[in-house]
Amino acid sequence: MIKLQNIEKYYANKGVKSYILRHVSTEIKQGEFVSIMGPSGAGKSTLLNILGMLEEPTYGEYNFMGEDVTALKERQRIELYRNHIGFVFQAYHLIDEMTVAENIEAPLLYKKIPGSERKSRIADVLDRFNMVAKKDLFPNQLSGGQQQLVGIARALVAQPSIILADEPTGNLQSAQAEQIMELFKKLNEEDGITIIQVTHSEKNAQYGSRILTIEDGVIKEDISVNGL
Amino acid sequence: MFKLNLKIAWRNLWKNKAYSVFNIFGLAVGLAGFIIILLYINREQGFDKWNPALNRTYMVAADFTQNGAENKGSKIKALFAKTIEAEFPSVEAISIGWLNGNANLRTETNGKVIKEKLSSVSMDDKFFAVYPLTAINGRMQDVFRDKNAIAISKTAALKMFGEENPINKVLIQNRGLNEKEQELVVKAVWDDKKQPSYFGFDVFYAADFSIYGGEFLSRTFSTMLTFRDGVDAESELSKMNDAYTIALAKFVANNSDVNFKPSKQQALAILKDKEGITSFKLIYEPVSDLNLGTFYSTQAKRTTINILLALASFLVIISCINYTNLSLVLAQKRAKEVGVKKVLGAQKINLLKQFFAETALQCIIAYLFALIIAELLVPKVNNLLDTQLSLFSSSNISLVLGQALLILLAVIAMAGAYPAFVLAGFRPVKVLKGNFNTAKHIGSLRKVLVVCQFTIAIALVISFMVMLAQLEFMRNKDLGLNKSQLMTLDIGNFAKRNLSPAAFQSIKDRLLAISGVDDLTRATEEPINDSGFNNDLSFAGKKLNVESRFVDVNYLKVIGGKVVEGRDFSTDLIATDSVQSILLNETAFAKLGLTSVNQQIGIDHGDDIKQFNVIGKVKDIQAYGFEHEVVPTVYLVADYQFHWRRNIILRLKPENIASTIEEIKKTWMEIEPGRDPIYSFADETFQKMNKAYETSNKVIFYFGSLTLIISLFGLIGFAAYSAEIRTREVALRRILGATTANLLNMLNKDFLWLVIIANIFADVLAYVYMNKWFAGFAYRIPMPFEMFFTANLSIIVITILTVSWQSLRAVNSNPASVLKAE
Ligand SMILES: Nc1ncnc2c1ncn2[C@@H]1O[C@H](COP(=O)(O)OP(=O)(O)O)[C@@H](O)[C@H]1O
Ligand SMILES: [Mg+2]
Repeated sequence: MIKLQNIEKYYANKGVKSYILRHVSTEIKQGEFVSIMGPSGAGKSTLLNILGMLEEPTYGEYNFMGEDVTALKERQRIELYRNHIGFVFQAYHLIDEMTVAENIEAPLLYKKIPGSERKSRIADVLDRFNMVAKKDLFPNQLSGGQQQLVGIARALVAQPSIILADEPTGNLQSAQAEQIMELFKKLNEEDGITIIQVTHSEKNAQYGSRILTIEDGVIKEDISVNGL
Repeated sequence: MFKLNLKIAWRNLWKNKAYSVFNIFGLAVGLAGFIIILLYINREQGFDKWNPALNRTYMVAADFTQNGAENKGSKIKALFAKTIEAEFPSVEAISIGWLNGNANLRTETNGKVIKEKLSSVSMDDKFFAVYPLTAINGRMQDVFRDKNAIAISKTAALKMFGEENPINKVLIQNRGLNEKEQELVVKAVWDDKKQPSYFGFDVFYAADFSIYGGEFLSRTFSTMLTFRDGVDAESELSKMNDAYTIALAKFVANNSDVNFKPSKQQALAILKDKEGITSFKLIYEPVSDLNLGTFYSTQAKRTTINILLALASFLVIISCINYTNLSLVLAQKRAKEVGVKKVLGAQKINLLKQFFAETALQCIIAYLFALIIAELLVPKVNNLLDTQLSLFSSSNISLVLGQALLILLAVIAMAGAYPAFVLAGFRPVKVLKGNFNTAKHIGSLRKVLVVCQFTIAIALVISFMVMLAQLEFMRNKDLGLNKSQLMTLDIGNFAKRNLSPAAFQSIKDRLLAISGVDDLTRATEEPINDSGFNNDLSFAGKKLNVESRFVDVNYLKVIGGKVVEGRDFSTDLIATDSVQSILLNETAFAKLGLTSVNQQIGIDHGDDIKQFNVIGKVKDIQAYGFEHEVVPTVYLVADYQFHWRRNIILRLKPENIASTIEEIKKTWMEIEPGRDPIYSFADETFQKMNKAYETSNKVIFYFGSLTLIISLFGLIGFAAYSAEIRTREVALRRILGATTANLLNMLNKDFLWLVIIANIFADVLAYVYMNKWFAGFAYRIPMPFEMFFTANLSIIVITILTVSWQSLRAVNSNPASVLKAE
């Protein structure tokens, strides 16, 4: 599904290039649950952003479902997010001016899904996440864990084939974190959704099937996990 | 999606209530100003549009130089119409008569008297072929069937007769030379609201030319003509010029022989020879142009309209700038929303739509408020500009609302475009990575916008102050006479106008018997007006045309004029004074090169020159306001026979003016029964002369205040936000030991620079504009630079106070809590 070949990323500052990613090559298959780990500043978020097409690599080839991403225009990239990618952020990034239901509805609107189907999908997701009672609340009326649930619901409602999550539990307490991880695992196993998450926690990484370790922009380790 | 966007727009408005209020209110005020000016412009341009032949209809008059003096009359001899009717088949109709008369009319029904002073038009029976007013009741043409027939406008009919059908009702008028009572019968009514006329008349009756007898053709009249469709008016009018020149030559040569066909050259020679006319040309103006500026008026409305339009545009532009600026400021807060939405799949166009929807929402709210504000302000504006505008009750409300809606769309585009594109252009990764830098410093575009705003606002403030200083000067300057409680009373009866002082004495005594009357005198005209007479003076080989004021002996004493050298006229010496003494004003002294009194001056009396002794020098009296230099003037107490003393000038005691006026009116009604006394006061006449300036000063004041207020709104929002995004920096600096003054200084600096630059631009702008304005005055103050300084200083102080007020919250917040929250 994803194929990175010799991805490089650097920022040029006053003529000095500072490399963030070097020679990153890897492949991620449909249905995998990958955890990216590594020290702070290693380039994890950058890699995830490149995977999510939010940033462009300086060099290298990126194939997403057989398409050469580097050659895409912004419009086309957005088409791809719409149809295939769901993002989950450490800071949740819910839209403060929208209610829970509206936040979840937003990606469907951009996909031009008809109203009746939107309603049923939102109802579905809310039900699944046990948030029906909260649907008219605004993000600042929710706890962190609840906000992240909404963030995930929002990523899921568009039925993406892949979820990219940058430290989804970074701001959460461990009980809530566990709940999120269980959810990811279930989504991965039951719905076959590919998940790529950045995490600092060994424990969280164990939920996945594979761990990529990055240090100084280079993939140091690539191991598979055999469950808990 | 649209609904959701609207909902979000609303929530955003609500969340940023303070900014929203400033934004919307500023915009509403700007739009309200614009709507009112639209009303004004529509009204001023809406005259006569109902006339399908309007673009073929012209007013014609003559401009000629006779004996060295230019005559710019607005009328032309009846000979012209006669010539045109005979020789120009391209003219559909031509009509002559009087277009601006007054009629004091009254109705008496069941003992109830309604009196109105209405404006009247009386023209010949071709008038409705030239100016096709249509009757809504009766027939217009019927007014020509009967000497006592009259047509009346719907509005005037309502005043005179109420809701009753006015047809065949009677209006009573005192008319003609001896003001004989005459009954006029209403034969037609036209709708002056549906057919608004530049001439603005309330009643129409047939012109009666019979009184002129054989003189008719040489008399001048207002003349209006309509060409046939498809005629090239310009070339036709120039042919008319030649044809009339020749006709006029034949006329003055008294040669109507058909074989006498002088060329234009010969015609001009005849005119020069017989009448001293050295140049002659027709003046013609399309009726459609009259309202916006005519050949005859110096203060064209077009200028007023352009100025108002400029001011209104400033207002709207400034409000848009404010809107843009505040939106840009808020954009920083919206960055995250944009980033997230893009990641969720929003295309740029979706976001553009959303932000435009937000702008539109605010603009529509502002528009609704603007309509309310405009409706509330209309009466005040009517008062100020002396107009009858109306918004919701106006007949062309849909036109105005439509235009205002267009403006609204333009505003939405102008105000919304830039922030929308900026917002929609945010790159999500920057925002989501969290290192999106909220601009600490003011973006350069925003700087330019703020400078523009303040430049306009400050320039208006300075202009207002400079104008006010000149007006103050005009109010207080010694005009050479004492204008308070100086009343002029018109003598209506012709027989009472040419009384000798002795014959007038009995009337004088009756008026002086009123306790509130201090003294009184007579003159040909009001002290503050053209005297109506001119003479040529000669002294030491010099000739000078002067204005002549024929007065009674005590004239200067009563009006408070001053004799600065020599003596005033004297009752004791009246025998000689009335035949050989004159007074000259200072200007006449200077122009004649006269150095002392008691010199002999010749006055040209047609055939011979009569010698007069100059007995005194009168301080200049500013009878023509401040725009014109005082003209050289001679004062004479001679001749009552040909220089009728039409006006009694009374000095009243300041106490109980109202009852004094009542008593004078009562006494005068006894002396001249059957006619309401006509009177005026010198100070009011002066006020009227300066009214245009007072009005424009007020207009500038209102617009200046509005622009300033709107600009300050912008500044408040801007400063508040700047302080807010710098809260952390402020907290850190505080921990590092900065004092409140240090911090305020830091937060003020950026804004202060902008306002200082705006002040400099505004000074230059105001200087240039005010210099131009001053050019219209013969009597003016030197450019009051202290006003510039005062304005600059106050604006700077206001800026500092505004910014500091908004910054104080940030400055006073507890640094520990701020930093912990970060
Ligand atoms: N726009 C940028 N310009 C320069 N350096 C950047 C930029 N964005 C990120 N970096 C640097 O790239 C490195 C990797 O960042 P990131 O991928 O966020 O690390 P992490 O592994 O903690 O998620 C960091 O050293 C960061 O400072
Ligand atoms: Mg990171």
